[in-house]
Formats: sequence, C-alpha cells, structure tokens
Amino acid sequence: MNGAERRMLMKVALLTGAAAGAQMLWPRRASAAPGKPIDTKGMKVGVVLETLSHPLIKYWGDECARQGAGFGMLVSVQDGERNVQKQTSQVEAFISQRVNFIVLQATDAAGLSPAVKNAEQNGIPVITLNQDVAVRHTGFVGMGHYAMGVQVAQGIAEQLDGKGKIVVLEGVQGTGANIQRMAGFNDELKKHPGLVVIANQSAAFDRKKGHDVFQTILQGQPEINAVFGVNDEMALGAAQAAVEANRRKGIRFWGADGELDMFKGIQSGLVDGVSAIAANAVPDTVMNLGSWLMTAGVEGGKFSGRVELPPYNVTSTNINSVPWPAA
Amino acid sequence: MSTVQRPGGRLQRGRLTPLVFLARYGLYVALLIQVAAFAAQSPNFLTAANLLNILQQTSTIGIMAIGQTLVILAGGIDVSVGSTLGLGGMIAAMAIRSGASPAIALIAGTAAGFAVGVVNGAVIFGLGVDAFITTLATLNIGRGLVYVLSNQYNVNVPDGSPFFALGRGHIGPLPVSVVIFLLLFALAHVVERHTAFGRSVHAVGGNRAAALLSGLRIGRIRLAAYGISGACAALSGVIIVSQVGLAVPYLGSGYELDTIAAAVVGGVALTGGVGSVLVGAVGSIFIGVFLNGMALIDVPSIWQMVAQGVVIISAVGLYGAARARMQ
Amino acid sequence: MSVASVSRPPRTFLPGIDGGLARARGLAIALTVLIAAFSAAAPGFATPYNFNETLRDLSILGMLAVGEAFVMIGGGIDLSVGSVLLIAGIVVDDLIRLHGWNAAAAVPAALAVGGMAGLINGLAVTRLRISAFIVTLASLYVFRGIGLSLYRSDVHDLQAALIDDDSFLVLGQGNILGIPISFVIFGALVLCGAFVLRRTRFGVHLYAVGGNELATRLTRIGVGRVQLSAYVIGGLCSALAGIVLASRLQTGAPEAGLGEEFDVIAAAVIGGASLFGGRGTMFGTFAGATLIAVLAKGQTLIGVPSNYQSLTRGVVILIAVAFDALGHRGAEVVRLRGARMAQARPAAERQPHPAADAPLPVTDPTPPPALEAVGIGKSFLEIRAVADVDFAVYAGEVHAIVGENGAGKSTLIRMLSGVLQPDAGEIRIDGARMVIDDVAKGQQLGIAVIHQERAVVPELTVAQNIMLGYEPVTRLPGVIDRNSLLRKAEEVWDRLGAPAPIGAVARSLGPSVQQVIDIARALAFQARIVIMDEPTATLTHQETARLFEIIGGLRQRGVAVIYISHDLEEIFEVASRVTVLRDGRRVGTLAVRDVDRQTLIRMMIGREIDAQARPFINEGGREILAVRNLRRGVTLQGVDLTVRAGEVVGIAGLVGSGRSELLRAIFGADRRESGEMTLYGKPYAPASPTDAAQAGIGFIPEDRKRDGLVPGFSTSQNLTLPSLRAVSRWGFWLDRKREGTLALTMIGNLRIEPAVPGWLVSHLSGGNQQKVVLGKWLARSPELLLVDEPTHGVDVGAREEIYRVIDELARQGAGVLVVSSYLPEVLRISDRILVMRDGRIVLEVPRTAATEEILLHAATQG
Repeated sequence: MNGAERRMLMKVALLTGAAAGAQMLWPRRASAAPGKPIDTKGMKVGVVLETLSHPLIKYWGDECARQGAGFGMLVSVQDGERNVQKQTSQVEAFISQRVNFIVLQATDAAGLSPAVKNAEQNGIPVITLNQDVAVRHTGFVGMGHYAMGVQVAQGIAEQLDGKGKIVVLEGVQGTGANIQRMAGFNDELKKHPGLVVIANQSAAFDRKKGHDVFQTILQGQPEINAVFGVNDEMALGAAQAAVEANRRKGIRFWGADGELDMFKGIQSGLVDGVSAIAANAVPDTVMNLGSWLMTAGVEGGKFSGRVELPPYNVTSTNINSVPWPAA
Repeated sequence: MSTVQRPGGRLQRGRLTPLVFLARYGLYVALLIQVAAFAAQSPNFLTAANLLNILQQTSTIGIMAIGQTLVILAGGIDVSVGSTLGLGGMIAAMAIRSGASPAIALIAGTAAGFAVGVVNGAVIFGLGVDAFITTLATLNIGRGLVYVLSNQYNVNVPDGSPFFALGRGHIGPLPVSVVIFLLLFALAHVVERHTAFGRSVHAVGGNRAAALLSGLRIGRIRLAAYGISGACAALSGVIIVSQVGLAVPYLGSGYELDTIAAAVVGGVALTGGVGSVLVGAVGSIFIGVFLNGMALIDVPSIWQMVAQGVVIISAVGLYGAARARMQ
Repeated sequence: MSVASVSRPPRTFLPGIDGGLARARGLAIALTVLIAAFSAAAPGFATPYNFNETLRDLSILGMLAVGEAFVMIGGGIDLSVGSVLLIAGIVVDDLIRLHGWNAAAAVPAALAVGGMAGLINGLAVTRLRISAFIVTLASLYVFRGIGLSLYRSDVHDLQAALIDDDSFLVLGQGNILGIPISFVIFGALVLCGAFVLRRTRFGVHLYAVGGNELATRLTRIGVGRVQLSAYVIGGLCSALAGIVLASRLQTGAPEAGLGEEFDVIAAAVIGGASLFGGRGTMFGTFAGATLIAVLAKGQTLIGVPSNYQSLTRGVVILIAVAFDALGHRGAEVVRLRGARMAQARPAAERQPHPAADAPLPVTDPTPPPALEAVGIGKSFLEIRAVADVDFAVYAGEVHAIVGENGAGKSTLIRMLSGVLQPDAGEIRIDGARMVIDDVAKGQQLGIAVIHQERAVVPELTVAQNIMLGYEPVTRLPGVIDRNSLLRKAEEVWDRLGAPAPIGAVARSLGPSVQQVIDIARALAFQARIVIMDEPTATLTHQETARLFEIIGGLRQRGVAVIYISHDLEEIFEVASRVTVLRDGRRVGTLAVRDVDRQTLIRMMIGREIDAQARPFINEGGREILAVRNLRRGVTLQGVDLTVRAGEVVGIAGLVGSGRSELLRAIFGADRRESGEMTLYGKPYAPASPTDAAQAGIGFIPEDRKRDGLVPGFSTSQNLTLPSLRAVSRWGFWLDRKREGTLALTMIGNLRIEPAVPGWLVSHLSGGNQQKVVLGKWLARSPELLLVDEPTHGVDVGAREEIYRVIDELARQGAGVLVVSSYLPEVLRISDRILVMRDGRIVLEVPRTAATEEILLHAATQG
C-alpha cells in the first residue's frame, strides 16, 4: 500500500484505539439513592416495535408515546421492519443514548437476546412485549403469539364441534410471530383429532396475497370448513375471496391480532373470529410498568417479572361487549 | 425471443433446428406443458373459474410487465416499479379519502407514476448514469416518499365507495382488472407493432447508434418508455388498492423482481431489442399459472421460492444458448 | 447571422475524481462531516458504546461489501449476498446447536457452504454465459428458500434457540482491547483482500479481466477461471458475515440479510468499484461501508424512522453513482485530450532515421526469415481480402507494409498473429511451418502485436502491466515476487527509455506512454517478431522520435519488426524494406533506399483511371451546404467547403485526416466546437441527427454494422426507419401498404438481393446491406447525402450499382458529399475533389484536373 493509504490506516487505528480506551473507562450508571421515589419527568424511553406497518402495532407505538408523555417521559418509537439486525441496531442505539428503559417487541426471540442482555448489563431495564426473549430481563408483558395460536384453534374447534377441514394461510416464513402462532395452533390441534389441515400456503401477512392464494385454494378444495389466517390481513383477504366466489357460507374465518378492520368484519359477518389482544391493555400495562419501575429506581439486571395479559377470542357472540381497538 | 413483426414472406435463412424452434416457441410449449402437468395433478385446475382467477391474479403484475417490457426492449431496465406501484396506490387512496372521485384518484395515481418514470428517464439519459443503479436509487427514494406521504399509516378506502368498482367490479364474466390488463395489453401490442413509436423502441434497443444516426429522437423515446413503465406500475397500485380496500405503506415491495422475471421468462433479452410486449405478457401469465398451480396442489411455500429461481435460470439459459447458436 | 457554434461547452469534470486517492480524500471528508454532524445532533452518537456498536454493524456490512467488491472488480455483480449470509448463519447455527459440533468445525463447514454458493453463481455466469444480474437474482430466491427450509426452532424452549458455545460467541460479541472482534475480523479480511488484489497473480488478473478486454485477450489469462474465483470469494465473504452475525445474535436468524444487497452494492460503488468493472479497492470499500453504516446509525439515533432512511439511502446511492459515471467520462475526456494534443509532425522536421540506412539482411538461405508467409490468402464470404501473398521478415529488420484501406493489411496481420486462420498458404517461423491457432500460440512462438488500441489495464501500474500474465511468483503459490517483477519490468522499461515512473498507474499516463507499455510487454515475454499497427497515429513529434529510437533498439537486438503505416514519410525514416499491398495482393517488395515516394504511390494505386468515369460533369447549381471554419478538437482544424445542387463532391485523404468526423459533424452526430454552417443560405446548426434528417440530409456511416443497421430488423424495417412518419397515417400509425411500397421501390431501384422485404438484414451480403443503408435515405429524397466509404466491403457488382445510384441522385438535383479511401472511386464518381489532411482541406480540384498521384500527394503532405 502506498503512503497515503498507510497514513489513513494509522489514523483509523489511532481513532479506534482511543475510543476503545475511552469505552473501558465508561462509567456505569450511578445507583439511585435507596428509598426515595424518583421523578419520572424528563426520562427517556426507547421503544422498538416489530413493525410499524401494522395498524395495531402502530397504535401501540402511538399509545406508548402518549402515555409516556403523560408521565413526563420522552418516548422514541422505532420501526424494526421485522428485521433482527435492524432491531438489534436500534436497541444498541438506545443503549448508547442511555435511555431510562427500553420497550422491545422482538421479532426473533433468540436473535434479540444478546442485545437485551447488553442493555440489562448496562443498567437499562428492558420490558419485552408480546414476544419473550431467551435471556433474563426485567419485564415481560405477554400476550404471546403462541397463546393466540392456541386460542384460535380452541375457537375453531368450538365452532366446528371438533370436526372439520381447515386451511391455513401463513405469514412471512421465518418470522417469530408466524412461528409462534403456528406452533400454538398446531399444538392445540393435536387435542382435536377431528380437525385436519388440508392446505397450508404462505400469503406473506398481506391482504392481497391472502385474497389471491385463497381464491386459488377455493378452486382446489371443494370442502373447506375453516380458515386460519395467521394475521388478520390475510384472513380478511381470504374472506373477501370467498365472498366473491360465493363460498362464504359454511366457512369459518379466523384471524389473530385484533385489528379494527377485523372487528368490523366480525360485526358485519365477513369473518367469524379473532384472537385478540386488548388493544389498549398492552401499551397501558407496558408504560405503567415502566413508570413504576422508574419511580422505584429499579435498574437493569435487578428485577424480573412477567405479566401475562390474557388473550381472548372475539366472535359474533361477544363482539359488542368487548372494547374495540381505536384504529 | 421472436424477433419483430414479420411482413409476409419467408424470413430468414437457417434451418428450423430444435434449438431454434425452442427459442421461438419454447415459451408456449413450456406453458402448455405446465398447464398439462397441473391439470393432471388437480381436476380443478382447468376450470373456467380457476382460469379466470389466474387472469385476475396475474393482471396486476401483467400490467406492470407491459411497461417493464417496453423499457427493456428500448435497452433499459426499471427496478423502481415496486415503489412506484406503492406510490400510485397510496396517492389514489389518499385522494379517495379526501373525497375525490374514482376517476380523479385513478388519474392522479397514474400520473404520479408517469412522473417518476420521466424522472428516471431524464437522469439515465441526461446524466448517462447506469439504468439499474438509477432506478435502484429511485426505488429507495420512492419507498421513502410513500412513507412520508402516508406518515406510515394505512389508508383505508371508505366502505361502499364507488372506487371499489375498479378492483372488485366485473364487466360481464371478467373482473375489471382483467379487462384493463387485456385492453392495455392489446393497446401496447398494437402500439408496438403498428406505430412509429413501437418501431422506434425496437430500433433504439436493437442498435442505439444506428437509431440515432437514422434521425430518431432516442432521448424522447427512452423517456417515454420509462414514463409508460412508471404509469403502468402506478396503475397496478391503484387497482390493488381498489381490490383490497386499503393502501399499506409497503405496498408493492418486491414486485419489481417479479416483473423482470416475467419479461425474462418470456424471452425478452436484457440487452434490448429482442422480444415483444406479447411475450412479456405471456411470461407474466406463465409465472401466474406457475404460482396458481403450486398453490392449488399445495406445494410448501419455501419450495415455491426455490422453484421460481430455477425456472428463471432455466429460461434465461435456454434462450441464451439458443440465441448464441443462431448467430 | 447567428453563429452556429456548439450548444454546450465541452465538459470538464474534476480530473482525478475517479482517482483512488481523491476519492479516499473525498470520502474521508464526507465521513468527518457526518460524524461531526451526528455527534452534535444525535444523542448518544459520540459515546464509546455507540462507537463499539457501530463497528459491529459496520463489520457485517463491510464483509459483504468486500466480497461484492471482488466480484465487481472482475466485471460482475452479485445480488445474492444476503441469501448466502442467511444460509451460512443457519448452517452454523444448526451444526453447533442441534448437532453439537465444535465451533472450530462448524465455522469452516459454513464457510464451505458459502463457497459452494459462490461457485454455483460463478459457474452459471462463466460457463452457461448467463448474465450475472439474472443468475444472482435467481440464486437470491433459491438460496433463501433453501436456507429457510433448514431452519429449525422450538417455540417452547427459547433458551434452546440460543447458541451457547462461548468460543463461537466471542466472534460476534467479544472484544479485544475494547475493540469488537468482529471488527478485527473485518479488518483482517480487508488487509487480506488488499494483499490478494495487489500482490498475487490472481488479483492482478482480476483487474485485467474487468478493466481491459483486449489485454486479457492478448495475454494468456483465463478469464473464466478468474471470474469464477471472484464469485467463490464473494460467497466466502458473505458466509463469513453470516457466521459473525449468527454469533452476534446468538442464533441463525431466518430473516437476516433481506434487502442487504442494495446497501452492499452501494458501499462497494461508493468505495470506488464500478459496474463497468476493473476498478475498486479494499480500502475504498472499507470507507464506503463505513459511510453507509455511520449514516444508518446516526439516523437511527436522531430518531429518523427506518423507512424514511430509504430516502437518504437512495439519494446517497444516486450521488455516488452519478459521480462514478461522470468521473468515468471525465477520465475519458482527460485521456482523449491528451491524445488530441498530439500534433502531426511538420514535414520539415522529418529526417531519415539511421535505421533506414542499415544494410539489408543477407539473402543467404541461412538464417531463414524470422516470420514468413507463403502464398497465404483469406476470403470473407465472397470477398477475397488477401490473395496469394508472400511475405518475409528477418531478424533485425524493420519491414514496412503499405497499402490503401482495404488493401488487406489488417487481414494479413490478423493471420500472422493468430487471430484468423488463412484459407490458403502457410506460415513459417524460422523456416518451419507453423499453425498459429490463437493469440496465445502466437505469443508462444514469439509474435507480439502492438495494436492501435492500447491493451493496457488502467488500474494497474506500469510494472504490473508489463508483466501481465507472466508475473514471477515467490515460493508461496500465486503470490507475486515484487522485487523480481520490478526488476524484470525495469530492465525492459529502461531499455525503452523509461518515459514514466515504473510505479505509475497506467490510467494516468498518456497514450504514447501506454503504447510503450505495450511494447515493453512484448519485449518482456521475449517476442522476436513485433508487429506494429499504425503506431504513430496518436503520437506527438517527440514521442514518435522516441518510438523510432525504440524500434532501432529492437532491431539491434535481433527482433524482427513489421511496421504498418499510412504515413509514407515514416516508412522512409524507419524501415529498411517495404511491401506494397493492393487489393489483397502483393505488388512488390523493395528496399526502402531503392524506392522513392512517387514509385511507392504508383505501386499502391497502380490502376488506370476507369474509363467509365462519370461523363457528365456538373458545374453545380445553387449552393446547398456551406461550411466555414468547422473545428472540433484536433480532428477538425477549420474546414471550409461547399456543396452545390447536382454535384458530387469527393473527399480523399488518409485515415485519420478527419473525414469521417467532418461528415458526422455536419450530420449533427458529433458536437462542433466552432464554425458555421448554412443550408441554402440559412444558418444550419443541428443539435442532433434528428435536426439534420429533418433538414433533408442523409448519412451513410462508415461502419454499417455498428452504425447503420438494426440487426434484428428486416430489410424493409431498416429501409423505412428514418421515414417512419412518412409511412404513417396521421403521423403515428404505420401504414403497411405505404411501408411495403417504399421498401419494394427501394429494393427495386437498388436491386437488393434477395428482393424480399421481410428478409433479416443480418443475412444479407455486405453489398446488399450497404444498399439498404443507402436506400433508407434515398427513400426520403434527400437534398444532401453524406456518404462515408460507399463501397467498403462491397463486391464489384454492388459497387457499380451504388455508383449508379449516387450518380442518379446528383442528376436529380441533390448534392452528394462522398468520403472515400479508394482513389479510383473518388475519381470515378466525383465532380469536384477535396483532399483532407490533418483536419483541413488542403486541396480542391475539379475532377478533370485530378489524378491519383496528385491526390495521394496532397493527402500525404508531399
């Protein structure tokens, strides 16, 4: 290499060395004085969600921000784009910013674990929501994907009296939500030997794809009793296809999430059931938990607790008595 | 693949060797084989309903493929169509939301796509930047624009809006989207074969220097091609939004590769000047049949991905070998 | 009267923006600015923790970019990097977690998988000849699908999804002295990559393969193998990135790598790699990846939503690539500028070179000529390019070959060097018959060709170019022995006068120095026969003198030199014998000192003026075209001419005198720098050929295959191409009948064979193709027709046809401007003849007063 490049290399090396040295001297966060409640005003919260392209999740993000503001906190909401690397990068960014606590909806349980561990080790409590991670951390607010899958299977079993042919529309292959929900669904299905999955295709969590794929499946399967769209979008698309093909009657359409469109669909009779998370409950619980932790001066690595929000099935029977999502 | 129009009379020297036959008619043969194979596997494949479904499912990619084929014929490539589709759809949805008539929404969306295409063409032709990279950059910029416009929210089409007629309506037995696809294809086909513009596109792609020295306005022609591609993509987006009833910010992500695949499978050479809108459209139908059949006989989605890649490679390899031999 | 000057000034871009150092400097500045801006605006950016994390992010992207850079330097592209990353991560995860493998075994296995993926890509591109874009696009799908199918996870036991092999985790999560180990790995990869690119044969060959096709053809580099290796390296790098990522995430994430390919390509391009191939460095890629990683991190810290980051990313890519394209063109401009500075040498300064006085080689049967062709011939379709030529050159001799264009010189050379095989006769080396199958064989036999185009790889140094393909290696396989290479190169370079530092990068040198590199390479592999094809075309006076000294030196060392030139003066300076070719046959071989210019000229043209010359000489009607002081760089130095209605003006001159450029400038195909033109007295300043065609001008280009015909079109489609509007109803709807009529009319008028409008034009003979090009303009009844070499590569019968047509056209009142290198032709068809030399019209005579000698005299500055 020539002289100029050698010099550049040296500069890079020096810079790296200096930063490395500085990092080793980076002070850990000073512990709070014991016993005294802490004012949450001005605290910073980092929220990393799985994706903001989903109306329900976007709603959670907005709600977290709103409630946090109510506590006087500054909340930054990031879109994880269903990408493990992006989410990791965002969590790390929040660590760099020394936020007071982090809320994380992990797209991959194992993959985000190192990042969560880092946060906790740096004294920043992490509250995971909806998806647990594989390392010990401060808080988990669960309405797990797994549980949703179980619930849907139970709901279908009830509506079909334990016997029937089911079509499954899966989401993007390899994503945590998809894997978890399918696992719950399949595990529960084992308890109902009369229920059989006759077709399983991926529709990428997309309404149009759900519509097109199910439209095709309708041609191939003369007898279908139920459809499980692993998210609401796909269920809605599939139901639409059935309506267009005049086969709406006799098929039960189930989704999972609890979107507004899904609720409307249950009310109008377009779809038959959904395993929903109480839309407000999640951000409520998360932010209150966080605020409590902060007020009590809990730091990362000091505490571990779980809150399991029960998911519940929404069908035409209870559609009017359950709280609806705002968006 | 098949060269430009053939006025009557014998065309070229050269024996009709199997390889030449394959290059010229292989697409149709493969299509037939595919249809036969799927028909054998499922009695529900060759029904009128399913065939109509195929047309409907293919129509959106098909419309885009028409524009993409035109660009490739003129010697370029357009990788930005995915986000142009999203842009068109989002603008149309937002227009409907603010009370515009379906016609205005359609025009606004399509016009936006045309504008993006013109920008592409201007940069490529004016600055001489490589087409792939330019449209790659526009892909990113366009997607960002969609997010900025929508503020990351989904935009719903109000229930009962007359706009739905576009995506869900029928004209006779045919869905409107299919009618549009067929009409557009017919129009493009006619333009390609019977107008000066169509001839010019082939000339520019076949030998740019010769076209320039024959007095053709190659700048304008390429600009027009890119504009048409953008408009087609946006039109597809508008139709999709009208079908599913909402515009999501990630609408169209990844579709660009599908349009290129359609053209390539149809035998359009990426170097330009070889192929036609006809084979581009047939290529998209080929892929549409492929996806439909796979879903019908319930092939696991992961293997569909692999199979698609193999199909693309085989097609290109075959055409390339045949063309090389024909020299 | 408005000045019809050029519409845009010639572009000058920052020279050196494509230069490695300038780019590195620019990037360093950009980075510093970014880091400063982010430190101020983004909370948490300027912390050691963030620095550490950014390095980790950077490492993954960077490793992918290194692999991509390798592929791009070799002229390819790889879109599947994200999918290979995915597969490798899942494989290593599987092996360690589910199968209990040791990290030390799992990592190489996953690397091997990546290498295989790269191999598959590379084979498809190099063996199956499928475009890299398509191959890697398809493999993007295929590899991702396979990777996903391998993924296993158990939802109930989240812990089990984590890899807990510490020796593995340290790769992605560990620090060494506070620096992430992944960054150390990345740094090591960069250093290794730089070593490979600069110090190994493979690296040098990779630049050659991507950078100059001619160079690889001339040396014995196996293009396929080099490119294949680049793809394998790409696969390995992606796999390495996937392994490190899996270590960092403690699991093989199934959606990793989605959409990475664009960032990766952007990083490589920002760092200097080009989609055109042949460029790029490891350090540049490092800088490019850093820029993108810092940009992403900073934006996240500011709180810019991820999807808005697409906007910035897109803009950054665009800017980077725009600079790349502009810099590319800028470099071309600079290089060409250098070439154009070359002035032809004024006659007065020429003097006979000592070499010319050297005694003739002894005609004793021993030793036999170094290279001898006996009775060789070659035909292309129906045209005999070379017929029954005997030619011999002895060691230590400079033997010149002269002849007009089309006399067969280049065909002869191509046969002697192995590019073409003779149809008849044989070639002997040192008296023994040899069959030269290809260029490599020719090289082995000691034959070297110095082409008109430079076979120099722009990104390599002089020394590396000289030893291209023959680099000496150390005991370590593939590693170049730099000292030995330098020594060997210097040896040859000094012998040639060392016109530039031996460590200089070829890109920065002018064409004359690059030519010396070509010669040096020939010497380096011990060529005994050196063929020089028009070597002085772009050289200045001093440079030519230096070249002649070099040739003198070659002679003294016993090298046989075959020297082809149009410049008769040079022949007298440098050669000892000269062979004259005419119409593919050898007219004679003489000692240079036994002949004078006149004799040579007479031998070159030697034919009686055709009695069938145009009988009717037109004095010309009104003036159609007037050109005043037309200038363009050094090729057109102020041309004045007029063309009148009904007359045929012929332009004679040697190759390189600017005739084609003149026609192109008149037609609007090339920009003019100054000068004015008028058409029928009104200002005429075409911005493009469209304007010229609309003004009623037609143009028959010199190279009909490259510029005149659309290969996939039929005869009728080519014939109607400039007249699309005329054959359309309402201006856009093609009227088949009108088309057919036009085509059939032209086919009839020009007697195009076969008389089938739908016949594919690429299947017509040369003569008929030329008629088609002619016909497409005749169909528009042009007022002025510009013709460049009307009968180049056209058989005798077709020639007559074409002359007849030109004649007809003039008779009907159009003006015709014909450029031709074939003097009998010029005399045959012109009313008035102009002679061009060095970008100017130096002679104007009516045909009656012109002879071939006079014309050739004027053309060669007699």
